[in-house]
Amino acid sequence: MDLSMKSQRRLLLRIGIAALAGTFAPLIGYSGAAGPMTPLEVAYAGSMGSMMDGAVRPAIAKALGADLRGRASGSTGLANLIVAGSIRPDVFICVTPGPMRIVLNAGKAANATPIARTEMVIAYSPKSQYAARYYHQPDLADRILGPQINPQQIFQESQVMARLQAGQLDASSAYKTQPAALGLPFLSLPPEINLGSASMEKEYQRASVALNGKAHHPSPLVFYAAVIKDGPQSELAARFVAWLQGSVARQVLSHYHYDDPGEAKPLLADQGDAKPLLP
Amino acid sequence: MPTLDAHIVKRRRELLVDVRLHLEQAERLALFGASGAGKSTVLSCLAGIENPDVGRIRFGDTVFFPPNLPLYQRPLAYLTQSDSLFPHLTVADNVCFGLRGHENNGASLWVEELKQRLALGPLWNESARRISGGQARRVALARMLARRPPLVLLDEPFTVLDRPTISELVDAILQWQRELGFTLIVVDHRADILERLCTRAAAIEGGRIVQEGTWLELAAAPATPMLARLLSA
Amino acid sequence: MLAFTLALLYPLTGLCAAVGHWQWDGSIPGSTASSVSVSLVLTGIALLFDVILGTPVAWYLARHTGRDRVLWEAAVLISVLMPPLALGILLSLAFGPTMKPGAWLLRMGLPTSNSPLAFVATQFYVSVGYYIVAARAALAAVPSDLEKTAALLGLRPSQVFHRVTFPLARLGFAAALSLAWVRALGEFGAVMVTAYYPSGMPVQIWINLQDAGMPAVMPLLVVFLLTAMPLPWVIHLLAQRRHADANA
Repeated sequence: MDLSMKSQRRLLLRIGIAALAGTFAPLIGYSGAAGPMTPLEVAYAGSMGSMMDGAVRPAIAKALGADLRGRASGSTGLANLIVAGSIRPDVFICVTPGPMRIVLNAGKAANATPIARTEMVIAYSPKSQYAARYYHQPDLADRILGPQINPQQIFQESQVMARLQAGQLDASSAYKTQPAALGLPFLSLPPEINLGSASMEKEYQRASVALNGKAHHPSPLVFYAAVIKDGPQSELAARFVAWLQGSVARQVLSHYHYDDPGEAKPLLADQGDAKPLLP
Repeated sequence: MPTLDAHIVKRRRELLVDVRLHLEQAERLALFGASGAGKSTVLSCLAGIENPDVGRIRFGDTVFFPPNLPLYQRPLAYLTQSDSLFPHLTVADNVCFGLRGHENNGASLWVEELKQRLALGPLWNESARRISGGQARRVALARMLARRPPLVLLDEPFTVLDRPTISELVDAILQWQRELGFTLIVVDHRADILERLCTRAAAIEGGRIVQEGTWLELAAAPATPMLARLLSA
Repeated sequence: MLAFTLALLYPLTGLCAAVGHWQWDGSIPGSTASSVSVSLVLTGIALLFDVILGTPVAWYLARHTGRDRVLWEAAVLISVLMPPLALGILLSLAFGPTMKPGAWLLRMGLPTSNSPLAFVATQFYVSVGYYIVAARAALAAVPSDLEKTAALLGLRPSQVFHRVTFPLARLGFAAALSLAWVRALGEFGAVMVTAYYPSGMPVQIWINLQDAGMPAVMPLLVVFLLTAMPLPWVIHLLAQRRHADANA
């Protein structure tokens, strides 16, 4: 190969590497370069996704100049990942005190503020043959839900609403926010059993379900938000949690069928008996 | 004046090969002996396919061992019983494989000569997968000589060929050796072929050279009974 | 043959299931487009690393004959044998702030969670083992005496690879590349933990499922199939064609 061809190839190689480095550098997320908005990482219960991505994200961009990056999954799973340090969000929002206590007791957050509330309902498919009739019976739960562990009735939570929409399921237990968000009809349950009242926590605790030899007691369906300690955006995170309690947030929450937290109290560390999975 | 100076010691299962060789330039030496005597081991150590356990190999100013010189830096050609043609290339690309650019440095004339003498013309653009065993042998020979190496090692190169073909190839090799002046070492167990190709012979038995000299000297007074048997066959 | 193929293709009929009117409005087209580009670009980068780092390893495993080779093979296979979610959790811990490498990266300003870097690193870890296993098989199929012959004809090791080994192992490499590609592209469990953001296609499907249900998932499934399928097939076709040319 003569010299001119060789040097041509070398030049091309250099240009190629420079181009690659140029595209690569911003891709590796070098945080030295300031983007247009500060990212705020929030981990929340799966059912909150449509509200977070749909309404909260643009609202936060306007109000706080923050780019909301959400991660939706089961509350307890998220709590355990946070405690282990596998994920490091700025804010954690979960439903029921249990997962939050895991995070508080591990010292990953100082306190948690109640921001919303929901209740258990029976959602039913408008396509169901029973939709025309109105259920008004006390043993409703048993008749619909059957024995405690009924394999025929266990569906992955994210699929339940989909199946109701499609008419594959006649009815299901659900948080009120889920069917309401999709425009599916639902039946309210009395406050003694709908887990929707924070003041009734002791009554709820009297009920229990035994799974794998452990007794599980239901808790009020209150949503708590906590700033995770040692996050990169702790000041912004605190402002976000404050925003969640403000009037704009209340409007958004009620639009998505979330109720007021009512008399629910903030959670502090060293309260309750939830233990983290790590020593 | 590159001379080949080698002392090769290598253990091969129960056999200990311990051989000393000294060749002047353009000498033609036969390594002669029964199967399993260790002849191929000597060649493969010279080529660098294997490494001696102990010893030294020097060719002219270049030291092959120790330390072990990489294969691509050894100025030699090595042909074994398997052709090892590159199946994804044509005959032409196989033959010219070791040549860097076929410019007007005489290489193309030499390749033409090889092509004509070894009757590769009709095969020239065929895929190497498609040719017969005998044809492949000739291609392999052309390929190894295309670079005009100063040292040529042949390990039983004629096993699959018929007598007339062998005769032709021996003539060709002898002619080229005269023209190019390369040093030649041939390994075989058949004395008749070796007698034509080489002037001197080293008889190997049990991993050692038991006798060395011209064919006449060996035939007149073979050092071992096995040698006598091989020579008379 | 036909019956088997039909059975294999049957899951695609799920696309025709009655889940309601497919949703393609609001933020869905935008998020679909961005998840496609995230998946394609970042997986592409990860695959580049697979090839650059994995090929020499595959070559070593194919050619090395020492007894310690079994240990090296086992080490490479660990990432293949681990369930992806386990790998993701371990990655998030190993590169987290509690371990030295993670802490160092964070000090440098490189986020190791929920970033393109985390995404690419995860994709690399889940796919490189598969690439190495397949590439090794491809290389082992090339007789080493062809390589030695080429060396004796004066070619340096890189030239030997270029002119002898690779052309003969090309089909196998194509298969290795395709395998690593589909493996990485479809990765969900590990990426869910280490790099939920930027969201690739699998995570986006999960997000759509939770936020809006099946009607919002279906279009993304179609997009996923359309973008994931062509590349391995094209690679295979290209490798086949040149192979046929060489034989012609």
